[in-house]
Parts: sequence; structure tokens; C-alpha cells
Amino acid sequence: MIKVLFFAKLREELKINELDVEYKADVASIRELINYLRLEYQQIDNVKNIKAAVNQELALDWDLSLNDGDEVAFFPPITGG
Amino acid sequence: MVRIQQEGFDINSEVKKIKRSDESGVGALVTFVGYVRDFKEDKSDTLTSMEIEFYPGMTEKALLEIEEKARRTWDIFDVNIIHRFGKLNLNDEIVLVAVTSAHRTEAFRACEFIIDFLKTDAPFWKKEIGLKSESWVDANIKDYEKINKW
Repeated sequence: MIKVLFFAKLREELKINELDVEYKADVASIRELINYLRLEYQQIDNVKNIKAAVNQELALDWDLSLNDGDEVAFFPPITGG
Repeated sequence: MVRIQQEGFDINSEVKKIKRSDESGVGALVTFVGYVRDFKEDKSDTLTSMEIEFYPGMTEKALLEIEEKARRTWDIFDVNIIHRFGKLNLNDEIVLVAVTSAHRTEAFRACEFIIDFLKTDAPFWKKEIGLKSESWVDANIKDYEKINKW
């Protein structure tokens, strides 16, 4: 399983905080994962410049391979401070 | 030290945590405090409060990494970073960065370095609540430009 988390505007648009996605060959990178999620949650496209983190580290390369058990978070650009 | 909390903080007591009166090597202490101010993208609206969300686990790690990066870059003694989350009202404090050093230059630069990286690297998100509407704050390109200068 891949644990997927959403934050801020993305969480509100999708009306979901987190969900589990089955780990399989065609959902094995960040890009493939978000494309898979888009099938059910088209509202993903309402948020611009989405960022991703894998196991709580910012992931710039969306073609990076995911592993079973990974925690992947999607969120809008950071606006703290 | 790094803390993420809902409740407010007392600047004086937070500063004393890194500058005890019996510490004689500290020659400089610089603090930055960020507040909720009356600013809304929609100029016809007035901000009343703000909601701050974070990513439990990742945000703490990101703040600790920023502190470590500052310690590697500047000759500083101690750091106290606090960032609040949840609902904050106009004029409430949002964030504290306090740095001690032997000299002012290191303390000033390290404090600015930490708040600059906090703005781009620590996962917090702000939502502005106004009298008429609420909206998530857009990232500011200037924050990213500032990072490039370090």
C-alpha cells in the first residue's frame, strides 16, 4: 500500500485527508500515482503548482520510483512564516 | 530547538531559554517575530483571522534541518524556532526565530537565513479568513528569489 496525504487547498478540493492506494507496477512513481488519483479526483487540477513529498522529504523528481509502504503527500506551494 | 504549537508564546520567556543571565559568551541576540496582519489579496475585504495548517512529522523535520543548516553556515550558539498552527487572529504572533551568537553579524544573518528558508522549505499553509470570503494564500515568488541569494 502507498499512504497518500493531501494538505491545505488540495485537501479541501478533494474533501479527503488521506487514502491508501494499492502498490502496483503501473502506480510506481509520483507521476503515475497522481495520474491514477486524477481518474477519481479531477479536482486535483484546480490546484496549481502541486508539490510532492515522499516519506516526508520534498520530491522534485516525479519519476522517482515509489516503494510499497511509502508515504506520499501532495500539497500546494508552502506559505508559512 | 524547534516547536510547533497552537497556543501563543511569550517572547521574553522564549528568548530567556536561549540567553540565560549567567551565560557570559553571548554577545548578541536577534529575534524575528511574524504577526497576522490586515492584508487580503481581495482589497475590498478585511482580514479577521488566519488558519495555519502543517504536515505533522515532515514540518518538524524541515525546521530542524533549517536550524542545522544555519548552524553549519554561521557561528551561532543557540536557536529557538516556534511556529503556530490553527486559528490565529489579527495581530497574533505566528512565528518566532531567535538566535544567539558572540557577535551581531552572525546573529542577524542566521536569523534572516532561518526565516527565509522557513518560508520556502517548512510545510505550512496559510488561509486568510476575511469578513466576506476566505482564501488560501498563494506562494510569493519573492520568497524564492530571497533563497537564491543565500
